[in-house]
Amino acid sequence: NIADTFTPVLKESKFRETGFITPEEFVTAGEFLTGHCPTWQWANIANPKACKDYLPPEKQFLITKNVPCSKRCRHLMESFKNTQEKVIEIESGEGGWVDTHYLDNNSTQGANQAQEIFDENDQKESDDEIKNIKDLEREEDEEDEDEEALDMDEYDHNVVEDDETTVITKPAKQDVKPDVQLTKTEQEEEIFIPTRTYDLNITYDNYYRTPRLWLSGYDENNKPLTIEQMYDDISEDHAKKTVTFETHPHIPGTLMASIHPCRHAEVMKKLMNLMAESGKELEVHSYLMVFLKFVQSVIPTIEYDYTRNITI
Amino acid sequence: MQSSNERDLIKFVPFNSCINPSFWFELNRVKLDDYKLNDDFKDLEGFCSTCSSNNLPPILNFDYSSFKKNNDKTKIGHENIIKVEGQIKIFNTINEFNLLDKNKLLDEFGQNIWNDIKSGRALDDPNKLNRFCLIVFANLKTYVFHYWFAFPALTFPLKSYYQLKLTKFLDYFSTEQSEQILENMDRFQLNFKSHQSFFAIDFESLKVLSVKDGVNFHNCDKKILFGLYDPNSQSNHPGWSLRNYLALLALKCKKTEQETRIFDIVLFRDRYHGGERKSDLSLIIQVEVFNITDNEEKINTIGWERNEKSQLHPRIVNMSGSMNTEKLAESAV
Repeated sequence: NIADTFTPVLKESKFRETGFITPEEFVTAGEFLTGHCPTWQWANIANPKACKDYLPPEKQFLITKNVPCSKRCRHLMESFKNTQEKVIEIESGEGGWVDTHYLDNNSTQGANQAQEIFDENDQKESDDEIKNIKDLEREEDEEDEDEEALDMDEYDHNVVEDDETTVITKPAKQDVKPDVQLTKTEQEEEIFIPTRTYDLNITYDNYYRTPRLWLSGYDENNKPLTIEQMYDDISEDHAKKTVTFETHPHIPGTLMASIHPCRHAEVMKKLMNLMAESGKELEVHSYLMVFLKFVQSVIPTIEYDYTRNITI
Repeated sequence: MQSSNERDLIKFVPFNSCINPSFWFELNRVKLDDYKLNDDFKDLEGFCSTCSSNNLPPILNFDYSSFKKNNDKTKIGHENIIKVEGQIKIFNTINEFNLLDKNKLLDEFGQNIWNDIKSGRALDDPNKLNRFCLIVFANLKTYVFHYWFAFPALTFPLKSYYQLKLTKFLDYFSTEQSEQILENMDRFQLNFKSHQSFFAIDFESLKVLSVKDGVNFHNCDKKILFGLYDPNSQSNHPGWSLRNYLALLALKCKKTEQETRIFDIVLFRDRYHGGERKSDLSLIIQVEVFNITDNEEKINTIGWERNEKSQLHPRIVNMSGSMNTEKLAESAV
């Protein structure tokens, strides 16, 4: 990424005024995150050449793996319609937004605020940056259809197994709703209901001077999700707007979904203003916690961990 | 086989492999640049998290870093992962992949583990008990990969393990005791370069010990709980790692006149949620173990992973959607 390379590195801390953070502050916030939520870790470096020299080599980006995602966003919508639906109309127009309060009562306020801000921004945002994604998707779909035909492995491998002492997970049905009734024996055996999982990465984006979140998803059988499938887990308001597919700065070879950072600083600044109004001050080490909280409005069903005791 | 109504045969939850797309990219590169036509077994690394997630089976992860040997660096990042060492064989033709005698291969891996247990190597480095084997046929033009994982586990068909009792960690120990154990655990792990999957707890002092010390103390009639980081989260079954561990304990711990012995095993499931550490998934399982000797007559190795249809077949993944170079070039604009 040329823009990233030639943008001068931010040296002076201005995160309270601008929402931007310096690489140093990114490391501070990353340390705090890994300390409090050890499911997040600094990642192994894939390619030493891809190392950014403004970050310590062993602290280039953060990673958390195998994050469960048992529901699709539309299930969330359905369950709200059935129970205490809380769709709030935005005065300015098209999309409403949904209170994600099922997750945690304390955590949602911030997420909602962020979502609101996101909504406002989305309308202003131009679609230029992401306009070729649709074409990409279409090709993806075509390829997927071929996959079925490939999937006939007629060769008999004659493998002998003793299954008396092995718990065998039943094959996952596609698109199982999470609230399916288990049969009695299944309940007794407490067999896993296979779920989707995600690997999440947080990199530092030198162009936007903010953290940036990357996702790669797996289906119920741990098979990588296609772009189209991943849209199921991105809230309707943000899919195809704030989420783009690009090459990861550190992990070569594949396209990865990412929440585009162009509005991150602005949202963070607004959140800090909100906190200031209620007499709280955002310390820079908590930056990533707050960031993860607002990002949850984009991916409400991915159950990654962050400290809940930050209130906005 | 002896059967009894009061005793339940222990059932273990096998590992599930989870391959990040970057693994396949790296495999392509390594095959073309380094291995070329050489199809010998090469070292590979998988890892699972020490922080178990609710409702997930034990997952062994593979990604771009699985090929790299990290021995050049001191402890960097990823401290909270359990590294699992294994081997990969990349075949040059699909025919060779299919014709390979899978049972024989798995038996060889099992035999190596058994030898490590007998020789004491596994007692010095118990992480050796977790191992995997991966066979791959890679079509480098179409980005279609045929692959099959095995997580070799020793079984003694005439001498099974029975589960007598299952207690929650938090019922077995008081709050103060469990906090003490967590603290001792962290201190214990600091002594090692890589995270230790297996450990022992001295019941008196609640100190966390290496398995080797645990076995020695146990053989001097101290009350010892043997433990392992259990990547499984299910409340009524242990994860796959316990299998080879029980074989080690059954062989190395002092025998009595009886045919069987009883061990209390800690299935340690460290979990963080909302920034808090929790032990609510951890269990103590009481296991009845048959005596085994150095020259067991019948040992089997099991562990080929089932595919998405629960069959004992290889898996196939088509990565052309995200690895196709034309597409990558397109998106780089």
